Amino acid sequence: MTTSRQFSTFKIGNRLYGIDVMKVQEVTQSMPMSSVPLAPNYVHGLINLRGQIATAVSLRELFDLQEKPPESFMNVVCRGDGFLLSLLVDEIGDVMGLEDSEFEPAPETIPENIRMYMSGIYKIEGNLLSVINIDKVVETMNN
Amino acid sequence: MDDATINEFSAESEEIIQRVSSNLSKVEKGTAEPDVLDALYRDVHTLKGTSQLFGFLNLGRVAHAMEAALEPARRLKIKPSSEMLDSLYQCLDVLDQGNKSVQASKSDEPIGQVSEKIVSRLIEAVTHYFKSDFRVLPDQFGVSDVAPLEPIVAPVVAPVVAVPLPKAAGVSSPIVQPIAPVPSISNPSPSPKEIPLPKGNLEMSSDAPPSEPVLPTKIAPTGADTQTAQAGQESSTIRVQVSILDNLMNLVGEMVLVRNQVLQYSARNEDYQFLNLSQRLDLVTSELQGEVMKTRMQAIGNILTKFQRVVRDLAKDLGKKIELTLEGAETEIDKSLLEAIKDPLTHIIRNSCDHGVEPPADRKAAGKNEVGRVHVRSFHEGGQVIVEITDDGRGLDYQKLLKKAVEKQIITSEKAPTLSDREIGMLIFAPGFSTAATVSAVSGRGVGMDVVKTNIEKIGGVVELDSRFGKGMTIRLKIPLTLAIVPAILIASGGQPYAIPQVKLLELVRAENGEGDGPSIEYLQGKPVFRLRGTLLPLIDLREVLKLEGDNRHSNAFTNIAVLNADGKRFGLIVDEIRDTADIVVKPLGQVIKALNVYSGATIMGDGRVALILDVNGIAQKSNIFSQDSSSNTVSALVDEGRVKDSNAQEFLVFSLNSEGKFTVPLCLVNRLEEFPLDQVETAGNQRVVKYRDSVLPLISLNQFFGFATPQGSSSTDGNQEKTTVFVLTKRGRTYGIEVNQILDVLYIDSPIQDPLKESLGILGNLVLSDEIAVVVDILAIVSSITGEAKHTGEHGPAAKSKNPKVNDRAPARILVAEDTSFFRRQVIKVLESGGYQVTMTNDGREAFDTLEAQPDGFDLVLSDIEMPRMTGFELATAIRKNPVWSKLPVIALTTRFKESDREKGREVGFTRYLEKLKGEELLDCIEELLSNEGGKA
Repeated sequence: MTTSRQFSTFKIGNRLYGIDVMKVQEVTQSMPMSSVPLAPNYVHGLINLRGQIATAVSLRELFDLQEKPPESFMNVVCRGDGFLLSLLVDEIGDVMGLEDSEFEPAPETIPENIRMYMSGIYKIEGNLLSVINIDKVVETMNN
Repeated sequence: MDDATINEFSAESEEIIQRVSSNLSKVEKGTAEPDVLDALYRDVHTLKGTSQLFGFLNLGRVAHAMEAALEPARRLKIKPSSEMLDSLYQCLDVLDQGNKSVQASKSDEPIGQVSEKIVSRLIEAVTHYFKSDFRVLPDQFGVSDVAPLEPIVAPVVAPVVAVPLPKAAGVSSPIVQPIAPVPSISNPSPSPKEIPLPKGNLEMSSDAPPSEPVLPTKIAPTGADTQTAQAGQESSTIRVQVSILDNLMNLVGEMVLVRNQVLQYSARNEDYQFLNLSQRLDLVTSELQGEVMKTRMQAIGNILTKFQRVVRDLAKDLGKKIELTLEGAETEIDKSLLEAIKDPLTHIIRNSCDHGVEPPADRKAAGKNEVGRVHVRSFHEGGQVIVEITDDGRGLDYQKLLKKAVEKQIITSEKAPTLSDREIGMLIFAPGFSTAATVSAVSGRGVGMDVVKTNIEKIGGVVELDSRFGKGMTIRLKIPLTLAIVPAILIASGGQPYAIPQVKLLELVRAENGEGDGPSIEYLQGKPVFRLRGTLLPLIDLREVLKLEGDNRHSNAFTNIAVLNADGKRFGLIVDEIRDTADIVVKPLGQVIKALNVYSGATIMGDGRVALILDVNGIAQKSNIFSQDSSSNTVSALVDEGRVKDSNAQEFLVFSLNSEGKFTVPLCLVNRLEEFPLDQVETAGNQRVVKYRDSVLPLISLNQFFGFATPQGSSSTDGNQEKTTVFVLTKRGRTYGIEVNQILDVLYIDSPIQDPLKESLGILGNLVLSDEIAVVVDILAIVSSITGEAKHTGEHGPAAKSKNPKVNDRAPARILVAEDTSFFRRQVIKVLESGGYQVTMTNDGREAFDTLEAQPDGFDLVLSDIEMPRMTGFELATAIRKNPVWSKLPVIALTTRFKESDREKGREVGFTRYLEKLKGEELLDCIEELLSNEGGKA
């Protein structure tokens, strides 16, 4: 019997991504954001999450996706090392239980600077789900 | 030792005693986990250590005995015998007793007697128990008998004798009192029983005078009795985990935020009752915030008192005599900040002892008291805690510091002379700087003063330094009261709010834009500056720092400037809006944002938005304003004098370059103005030249020299220009064409030339025109640097060559100069030194005359300004001519007074020549002529 893991899924453009549910603190609606001048382009700003400050990170910039961002984002809030991290995503999907048998590491053809943020790929019906290695994102932000 | 320290000690002891008690009962009941014996051992060990440290030797002795007793049990993992346990309990009671007595009277003497007895009983029990097993030798206890303890006993017992007994008992604990002639100890637990004290052991206290009766003592059970008896003195404090206080503080911080939000909401709301409630909430929250902050407050004396010891030991090591005095030890500060300043303070005090205070012999030689003083003063001021560490040692030797800084490549040798004393002083905080010639064990331990500064700044504090050479030094730490809640000012730029901690804010000023009458922003070499009460304030635009889009500054009538203090230096931050002041709660930022060095944190504002807190020092560093300091550009003594009234008004040629602001040169340097069609400009070698009259005129482009780029698409320069504008000057018989963008004006200026914000080649200083500031270009220096004439004197043609041969052959001629204006003084020095003369500079006629009188044969020539304080040039010349010794001494007047009547007067009073200022060439020729004449006569 294969084991399965649970993932919070979301979409950026038409791409499907997932994060281990255990890593996700909460999902929120679009929130007012204060920009951080001079910060790397993937840092979109700071969000007031009930008195805690979360750093909003756009995966579009981090993954070098060229297409136009939507008007408003949903927030997938994760715990970083000493700070809160909010991934800005277009659309929230279901929590999916995925079988390990469907898992594969990310193909080598994906550039290393993007592949480093991907734990791997789940082949699900009609789509491919990229699992985001949130620890790696946190690491990048703490370097 | 002060009360606070003792209270801390006894509170901790109490905690330990309670823990030991509960652990002992666990051991006795057999419910103990295996590590309980270890815990027990550690606790009594700690108690022993701290007691002895604080000089409570009776407590220490009892704890020591307990430790010794527990040691074999712990090591061998054996349950102690019941006798041992009894004894340990009794010891514990005695400890408790002693501790209470310490609380009440700062002395543990009341348990002196009983502790001896109890210790010997314990030892007996232990030796008996382990001896029977033959597993432990008695001397492994550390105390095999009471005898080794005698040295400790001795000093303790003696004072007991000295104090009349009834008094001692009264002062200390009412429980320790004579009850019965039969010595007895009522054992509180587990089963109270009378224990006759072995006689032999009593005799062990051999130091006690035989006349003193053995104190019969009853030790009350630790239970209800003690508490009733002590009720009055029961401390009204409880010990709380710091983490709980931290949480409390955080929650209050959150509450402050909610309060702010509620207030903002209620302001928009018309519900009267809600308004009322929110105002009460406001009050209560503020009060709560204050009270919670108090829970974390500790007297700074808690750490200061420890320095007494540090200084004493240090002084001993260093062979110095140093006295540490404390002032304001009761000043309170947040516990976490107290921890944070402990190490920096230690370092500063060590530094003062090591580098500051001199050895006694040196001090005596300097006429100081042999005993050096280090004074630590702390007080509250403006919501901050100020800690000043002052020593009366040798102070900082600025010249030595400077040399060292250049050696260590902390600053460049070019920059060195431009630093003010204060800037030089701050060098000791630069990374990699250590002032001690030899790295001593005391302060040279890899951590320098830079760490002090970094650590203080990390907690939002500021380090300042005052030093007087030979007199001593003061280092001032300004520390916020608390970290979590910071008073700040809220500003906005680019539509987004930012917070600036009040600590960094000096004042807010407004500059008028456009044609208003008020002060406006001016530009110096493209950099904005603002005249703030007469001194120039360098400005930084926050929009520029943060690279924000747009610039709505000019659309407003005013520009808002926040005058900030970064490392003791002032600068103005241009912001779009100044909004409000607020207490903000600092939230940490992720590393990715912290690393930008522009933000020190973030906060949530009343409206729920996040505002970044600006890191003022970081911004100053990023904008490179550190090299320009408007408030303290006292490069040398010359500068201050440069600001005094200068009656030598003169004409200046004002022109523009590819940079904002205006530039100028003294008109007297300019021969004529010319325009040359660009197609006449040729290039010879890599030098642009133009045919001018009968010779070739080399062109020097000031834009090129200063590295001013040609603005793109600009029409003011090359683009549609077919001509180049040039002013022609003569230097040492050669002419040069200086290219500028446009000649703007010739102005007659009365104000003195101010020293430049930053000393750099080609800039003499700044000149205040009627409505703005112009940069005075040091055109002679520029020409020299471009032609490299300083090195190649041969290139100056026959005229130049013939000038100084005689001067060069003999010892350099000595020239005495009297000149009261720093600008001209520098000019004259430059000119004369380029001519190879030896120059003695004086500030006025009187000083010049005194100098001359002191060395009647010391000078070959005198050069004097006319208008000077104290003694004018005319008076000087008159005085010189009165003395026949100097009848032949050439005296040249160097002036801007060029009316014929003045010349006439000059000749009358005996000036040999009457020359115009700033004509270096003419001056050198004249001097050469006069000196060779004189040489011929002699």
